[in-house]
Amino acid sequence: MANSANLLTPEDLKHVTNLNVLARQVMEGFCSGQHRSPHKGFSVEFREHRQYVPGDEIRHLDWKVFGKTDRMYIREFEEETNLRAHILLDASGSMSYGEPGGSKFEYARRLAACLSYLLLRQQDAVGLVTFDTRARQVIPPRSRPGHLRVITEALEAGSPGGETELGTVVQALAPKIHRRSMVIFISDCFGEVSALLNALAQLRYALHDIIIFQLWHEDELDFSFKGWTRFDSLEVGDEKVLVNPAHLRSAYLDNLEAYRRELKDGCSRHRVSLVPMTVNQPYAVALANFLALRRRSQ
Amino acid sequence: MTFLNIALLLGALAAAIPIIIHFFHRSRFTVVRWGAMHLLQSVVLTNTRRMKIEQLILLLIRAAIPVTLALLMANPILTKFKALLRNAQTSMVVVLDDSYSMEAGGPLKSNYALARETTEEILGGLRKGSDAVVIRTTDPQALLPVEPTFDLEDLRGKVRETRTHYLPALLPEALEQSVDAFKQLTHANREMVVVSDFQAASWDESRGPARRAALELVRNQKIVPRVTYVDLDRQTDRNVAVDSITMSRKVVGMGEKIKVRANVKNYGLTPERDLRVYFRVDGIEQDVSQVSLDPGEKGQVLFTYGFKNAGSHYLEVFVDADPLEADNSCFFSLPVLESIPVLLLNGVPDPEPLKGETAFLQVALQPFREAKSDLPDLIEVREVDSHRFRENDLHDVRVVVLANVDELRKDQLHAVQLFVQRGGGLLVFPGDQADADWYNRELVRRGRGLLPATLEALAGDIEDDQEFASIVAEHYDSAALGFFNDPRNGSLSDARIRLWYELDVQQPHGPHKQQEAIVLARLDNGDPLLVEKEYGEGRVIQCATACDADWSNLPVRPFYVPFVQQLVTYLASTVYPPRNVTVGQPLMVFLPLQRDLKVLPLTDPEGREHDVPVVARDNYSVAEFPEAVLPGLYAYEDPNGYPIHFVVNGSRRESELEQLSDEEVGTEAEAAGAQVVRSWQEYADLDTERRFGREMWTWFLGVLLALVFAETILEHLFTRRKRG
Repeated sequence: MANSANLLTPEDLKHVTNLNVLARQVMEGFCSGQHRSPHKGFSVEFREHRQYVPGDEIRHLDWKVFGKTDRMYIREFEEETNLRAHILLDASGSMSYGEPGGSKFEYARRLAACLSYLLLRQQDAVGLVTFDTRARQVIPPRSRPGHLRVITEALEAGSPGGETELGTVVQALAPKIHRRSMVIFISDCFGEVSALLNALAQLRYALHDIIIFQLWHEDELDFSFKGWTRFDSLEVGDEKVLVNPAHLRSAYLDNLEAYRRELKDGCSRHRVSLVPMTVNQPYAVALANFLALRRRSQ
Repeated sequence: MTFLNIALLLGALAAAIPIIIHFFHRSRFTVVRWGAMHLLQSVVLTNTRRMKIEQLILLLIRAAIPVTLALLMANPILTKFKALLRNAQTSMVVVLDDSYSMEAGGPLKSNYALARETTEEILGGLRKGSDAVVIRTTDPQALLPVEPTFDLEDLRGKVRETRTHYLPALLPEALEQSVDAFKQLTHANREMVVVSDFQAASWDESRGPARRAALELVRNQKIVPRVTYVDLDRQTDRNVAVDSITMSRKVVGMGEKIKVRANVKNYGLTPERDLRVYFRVDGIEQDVSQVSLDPGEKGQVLFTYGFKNAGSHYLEVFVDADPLEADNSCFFSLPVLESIPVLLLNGVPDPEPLKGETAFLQVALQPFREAKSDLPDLIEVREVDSHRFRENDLHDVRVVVLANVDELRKDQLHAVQLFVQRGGGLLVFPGDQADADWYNRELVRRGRGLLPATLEALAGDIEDDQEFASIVAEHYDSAALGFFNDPRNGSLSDARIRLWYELDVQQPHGPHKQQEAIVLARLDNGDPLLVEKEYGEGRVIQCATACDADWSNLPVRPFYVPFVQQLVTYLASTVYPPRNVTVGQPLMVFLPLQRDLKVLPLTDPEGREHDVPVVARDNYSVAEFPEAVLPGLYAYEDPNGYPIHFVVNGSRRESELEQLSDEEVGTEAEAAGAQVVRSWQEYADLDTERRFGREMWTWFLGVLLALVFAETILEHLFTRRKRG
């Protein structure tokens, strides 16, 4: 059985610990952390006094002020609340592309573990959903340190297969995310762009902050295959194409560019952060760069 | 088409290799499990047709490469469906343009030197056992050698020794001669090569019909020869020529001033500024003038000179203009006489002073002698009673004057006719004794005789002082009266002609060379006074009135002396045999008969000496040099050691150096069924093609390289990344 040490190497952690996730919006939370909450609470940092009104809890009365002034005041504190993050990991067949140990899925779950560790270390709540055509595993957000183990075990247990239906999955999950949260997609986003954008719009309507880590293998970006090649689909069993890739490369790259532009424009329109990443890119460094970018945008 | 290495054509089977490789690769494909099928599928759907076409194009090119390589290595030869001559022997006629325009050309080598080299190389390239002959365009009848030869080395040597001849190119005649020459040649493989500068003047349309007729003869031979035109095509932009020299006299006396007019023309394409024109006498420079000529412009330069010594002299006008030297000089041979012997045939002799018919003439022709002066007279007069006149009296005489001669005996008439035919001058004055009927019958002979006009009725009246006619004062075109165009020399109109014969001019016809009779001067009533006619090599001037004072007051007018002297010297100016001839004419000299004179030395323009045989003819020793082909100065040496100069001037038609354009040469070649080459190397290539066909490996190499290049380019084009 794999543990978190397998996924979060000391080198990876070294890079990520120097970074802080700064949410663009103030999130609701239960635990203290580094993210300011718009809600007033009763934690450790005093904010102000206000007059007691019926219904307030008696335990929050400032008895010292009552003793001196004979008036009842309630002590209010400004709480530091946590971020609720949902990591949605694509486990469809297309994510399995790549050499053993270096597939997009392998990269995706390491990235998910990194994010989980980072968020939990900031005492944020993090949950995990793996999906293909439907949600396979759903781990609700928790902020306790032991939750990382739950997540990493779930990541280790997962394997890619089936078609990608990101739009359908999001539409199914959206009603279950009640509070404003950060939704982190780790996927290649293959499939209908319009359906995906509709699903993202639905999440944005619920005021969720969305980040998409779009994973690419360099073969998918270069299409630099030589000689006659038969491409067998990783998602649909009987879908096969025999071509000379050199003759198709130009048209393929044009098609790829059009697809990426459409996705990028759609995300920009819905204020969704799209972070393209390749599997040979050191994910920790890429993640650190993204977080720095995120901070600057605050 | 044929192949030298036909076995290598089997290599074309390698065309199957790319096709096999294509299908092999299709069957040995790599399998990739692929995720981004949504990106790939749409591309495949929209590009399948294009990909198939591109693959087909590449496959065809790749299959064509080994096929082309096999063709290249098989060494294909283009034969144009004709049997190849291989090493067959050839019978060849070379028509070599040796007209003097070929002396033009490049700065280092004339066109003719190039033509000679080309001919030598062409002859040298003939297979052993071939026979050939060379025809020169200036003298097509004289084959080189006399008969076709198999000794090509000897023929090449003979060609090497040839030079340009200063004659125009006779192309039609040369082409006709080639037909006769082919009859003497032996091989069935026949070829005619025309080596020329294609000078427009030689190839112009005026001789086009004759040329085409000659080519028709060439084509109608039983075995039709292949014809090749070698166009040397090196035109010279500069050429100025002294076209001719015009003299006021053809014979002059010592001390007599003559005017020499040189006609200069710029035949080149560039203007010539301040050209220096030199005037030389007997090789010694006497005067220099300058002239500027635009392209095609003619100019005239005038020089004046008086000879101090009698004898044969020559003049030269030279323009130092361009490397084509043959026409830069023009020569003129001129005899200078110590005196002009004149024979007066007196029809009415009278011993009393000034009573005889010729008394005034004698005074006028030798005034110094009559005045007992020490000064010499140019004209030396001898008088003979016309009835006692004999043929021997004509020895050394240059002019005979008939003065009121009634008639001549037949032998006398024959002697006078022969005298004029050989270049003598005859001046005829009528008078009261003249038998008009005899004159008209024997001397006029309806235009065939000595005199140009019949004596009709007498006009005027010597009794009436008031009735007379005057000579019309006008500009006289003839050199005989040109002296009086200057008013300071007197006016002929001062004379009163009281009695004269009405002359009816008879236009000449007959066997002798004759020009139209010319009226030199008229009376104011329109009647001719002086009429001139050429007869043989000599001239005759007929006067309508008498030479004494009976019919006119001419002898007492101041102009009478120069009048008769001008007429006599004009008539004496004919030189026979002519000493100014054109190229190809013989150089004849008549000497008093000397039985022991066998040869006469002659020096040609290049300084070579020739011994010209002397033959006795009538009362003369005659030397004749038959081939004056070089222009310039020739000089006989007479038995006394004095020179007799002859001048040969070339035709200036060859000075027109303009050549046919490439298109015009092409048209000429097409009409002749000929192929055009520019050098012997091109001829050698053409000959190789005829014998062995045209090697096509270079073409196939080009195709192969093009295919390889196309394959690389198309492969790159079909797979290149389109920029955004």
